[in-house]
Amino acid sequence: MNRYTTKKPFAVPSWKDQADFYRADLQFHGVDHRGDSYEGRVFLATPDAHPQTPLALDAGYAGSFYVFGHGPCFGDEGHCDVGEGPPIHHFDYRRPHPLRGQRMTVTITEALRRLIAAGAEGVEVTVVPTNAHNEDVGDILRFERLSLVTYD
Amino acid sequence: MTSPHRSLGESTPRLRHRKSADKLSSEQLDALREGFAKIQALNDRNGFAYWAGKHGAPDYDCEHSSEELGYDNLFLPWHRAYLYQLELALQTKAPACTLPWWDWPASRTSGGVPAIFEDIEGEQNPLAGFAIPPLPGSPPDWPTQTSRAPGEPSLLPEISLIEEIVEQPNFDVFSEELEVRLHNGIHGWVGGTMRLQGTAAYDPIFWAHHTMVDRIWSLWQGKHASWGPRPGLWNEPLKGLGMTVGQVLDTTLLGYDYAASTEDREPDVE
Repeated sequence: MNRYTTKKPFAVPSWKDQADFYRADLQFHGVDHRGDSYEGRVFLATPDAHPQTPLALDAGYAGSFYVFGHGPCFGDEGHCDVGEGPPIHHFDYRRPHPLRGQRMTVTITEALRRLIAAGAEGVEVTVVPTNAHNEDVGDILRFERLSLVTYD
Repeated sequence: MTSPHRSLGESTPRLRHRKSADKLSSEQLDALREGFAKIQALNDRNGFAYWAGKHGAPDYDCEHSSEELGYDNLFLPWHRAYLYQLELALQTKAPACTLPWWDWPASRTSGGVPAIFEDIEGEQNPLAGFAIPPLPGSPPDWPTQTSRAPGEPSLLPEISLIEEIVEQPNFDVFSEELEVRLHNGIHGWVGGTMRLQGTAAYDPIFWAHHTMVDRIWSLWQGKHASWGPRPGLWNEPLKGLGMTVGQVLDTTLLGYDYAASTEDREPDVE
């Protein structure tokens, strides 16, 4: 299992004498969906979370994203290689390669509010890839960037 | 004596109504089973395997979101056209057939996969699965039969989550949330061959799953008085389906709507 935890926690998004956020999202950018499907379970301040950790706010659970995997490739060499396009140049009007990375958003408003209320100094995010049977699904979690976005 | 002239009523196009898989009458269920059984037996362009292979292997024509596409993704229009085409194939063989939708929240308390898609002891149920044909170039572990490994029913989405997503006023955000928060999760929940893009459409339950997705888009359209995709996309072709985005915006122009129940009365003529 390739559980992911932020090496450097996000700064706590709270401001003295200013309006609080009404919504907080974690955005996973460039999520790889070339392999199997999985659920990415997101926990806050729970670096030892695992597939059997309860899906409860008290256990640090904040929400999930779901990847619908492409599955086996039937093509020849280069078929699943995003780098081979499309597009291959500026005048290539075909739809982009279907295996380009996806964006997944998990709304974590309630879990983040709890964390802040408990006096956390940073927002540590852990992602546990699993399936509907709480099983270890192997080294499947791959993404390019993670953003914490709040709205006021 | 029958009039040689068609009445106004007979000349009015009659919409078909797609209904919950849990609420089909026995006649509707018979028509659905007949349609699936007949097209599953076909090996040509009218057959189930041909249409299933458009979404996944070997064609992989389906549209899903990607970061680069941003809000130009054609996930909802492509799948609406796809359902429409399969429904026509079904109706060619069983005219009374319409695609049912899978009421995911209801399944939380009714045991998970809707009963009509389950095996029936001592009977062939064409809705329970499909023998996937061998394909050229298929990998060694390519399945020969659809399979499922569903999770706990309580993991299926609650109605409140669907309502929250339908409330989203921005179509592009709505579409992405519907796809990645609901649609993707159900594929994973069913498991087996439904969990992979390459094999999912070979399972008959795929079509009820996507009919629910299409219904939620239809609910969003009614609530927000908008078609959804921006006009700049309306001439965009839907890969492999011979239709454009603009042709699938209005379900009534495709001949269907969603209803809990329908009952007709002919005018009483003395």
